[in-house]
Amino acid sequence: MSYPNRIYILAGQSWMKGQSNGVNDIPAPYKDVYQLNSRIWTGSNFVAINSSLNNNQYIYQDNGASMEMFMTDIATSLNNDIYILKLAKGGAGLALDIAEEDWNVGSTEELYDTLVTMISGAKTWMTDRGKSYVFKGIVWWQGEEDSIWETKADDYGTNLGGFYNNLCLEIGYTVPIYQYNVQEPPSGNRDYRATVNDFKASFTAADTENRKLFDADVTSWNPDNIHPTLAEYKRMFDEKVKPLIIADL
Amino acid sequence: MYGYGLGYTNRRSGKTNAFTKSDCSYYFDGSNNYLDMGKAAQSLLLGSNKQWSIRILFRPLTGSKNCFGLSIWNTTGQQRAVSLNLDSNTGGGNKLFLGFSSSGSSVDGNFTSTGTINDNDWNDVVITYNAGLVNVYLNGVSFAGTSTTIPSTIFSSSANTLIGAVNAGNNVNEASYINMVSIANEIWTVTDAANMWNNGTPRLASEVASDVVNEWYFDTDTFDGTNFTVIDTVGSDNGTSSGMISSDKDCNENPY
Repeated sequence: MSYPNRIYILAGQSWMKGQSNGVNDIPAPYKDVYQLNSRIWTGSNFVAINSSLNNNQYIYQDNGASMEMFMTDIATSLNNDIYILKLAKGGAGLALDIAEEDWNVGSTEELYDTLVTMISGAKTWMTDRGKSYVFKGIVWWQGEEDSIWETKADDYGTNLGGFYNNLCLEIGYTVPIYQYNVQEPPSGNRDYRATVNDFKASFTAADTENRKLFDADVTSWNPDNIHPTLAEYKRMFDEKVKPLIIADL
Repeated sequence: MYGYGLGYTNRRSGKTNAFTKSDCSYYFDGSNNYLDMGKAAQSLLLGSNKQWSIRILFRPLTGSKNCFGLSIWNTTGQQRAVSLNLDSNTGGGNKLFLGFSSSGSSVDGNFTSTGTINDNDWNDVVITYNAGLVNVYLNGVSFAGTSTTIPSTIFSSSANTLIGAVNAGNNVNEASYINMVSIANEIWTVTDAANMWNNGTPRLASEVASDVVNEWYFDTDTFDGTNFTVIDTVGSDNGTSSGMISSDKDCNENPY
């Protein structure tokens, strides 16, 4: 008897990618150690997370660091290893954008397709090793880009539903999703975030068992006035995301 | 000693389980990785009229190659000694095949199981050697087989003790998981084997059988970025992984 291996998808925009060079601010005991119980996809393998192994395309792009650095706490709660697929890009919206890479399911060979390829690779890796697995959660930190533009905001409900439904179809079953309401940073300009957040709320209300929504409540910002400090990432994880994930274990 | 029961605390791991268990296994990819245990246990295993027992908890994955549990068997320089092929492609496949060499240059005696090993299942195999007399137990019961004359002297090879491979550099085997390996300087009985298997729940050997001299159960092994240090929790024969990546130590795959 072996345990089903839990796979989490961490996806979104720059908050999920992590502030550039954020690895420098990771606190102990998470920094510069092999987190052997928390494994992240590199494109060909799952490997133990280590913040010093920077600049992998899927993990520490621009030395960014986000909540993946703290997912080891989930593994510790389980007393089991966990597996992570992380894909994030700054400024990537859910709306189809012919000028920029986006998350729209209708875009070809862009972020959604990349994520599907990662899911397929992870399934094959697990199967080749004789491991049972379950996709246990999607942490979706996204919506900022769509909050800047009225047309993108107006389509957010349709695009979010399409993204989630297609992703679940790709995986083969309904997967819990955890997302935040888009917050206005000190730099401003998210004029249509109320529209985006309304769509997030209605999306969540349609299936409260599998869809969770929280307020990020960030109060400490990086000098760019767009991204939380690493300490805030840690707080968001501890106070918001971790309890939701653990409740669904 | 039978120190088991609900709430029993493993003095090594500090964990309290219904039954003490070894959480972590190594994944052997069948092509490139193994554990190099140096000269571990060789003074016990090799030479004339030796008596020993080896227990290996393993899970072979589907395949038609060979799954090596523990071997001191380097074909280069004629350094063959003992090879424990737990899921062999000989004799129709899925047989347990044990090779012994007194000369170093060939298989001078062997044991081939009559029954077969189930791919994808966890298997608890105990092999005892008593100066040329071999007995095998699988999941707590006798595992019959046919033997040629097994030598009472095993060649004193200069090869290292390997787990998960037969021969460093020639490791084209079947992918598998190994959860633990233990070695004792006595002849374990079918009663010992049954106690270890525990009606379907394996126990750590040193907790239920006396005279364990080496035990590698992997839970406390450390990773330095390139290799794991494989801790001998009873003796002092630590080993080193070769060709492993950080996820090859797998604490979700175990028999419990």
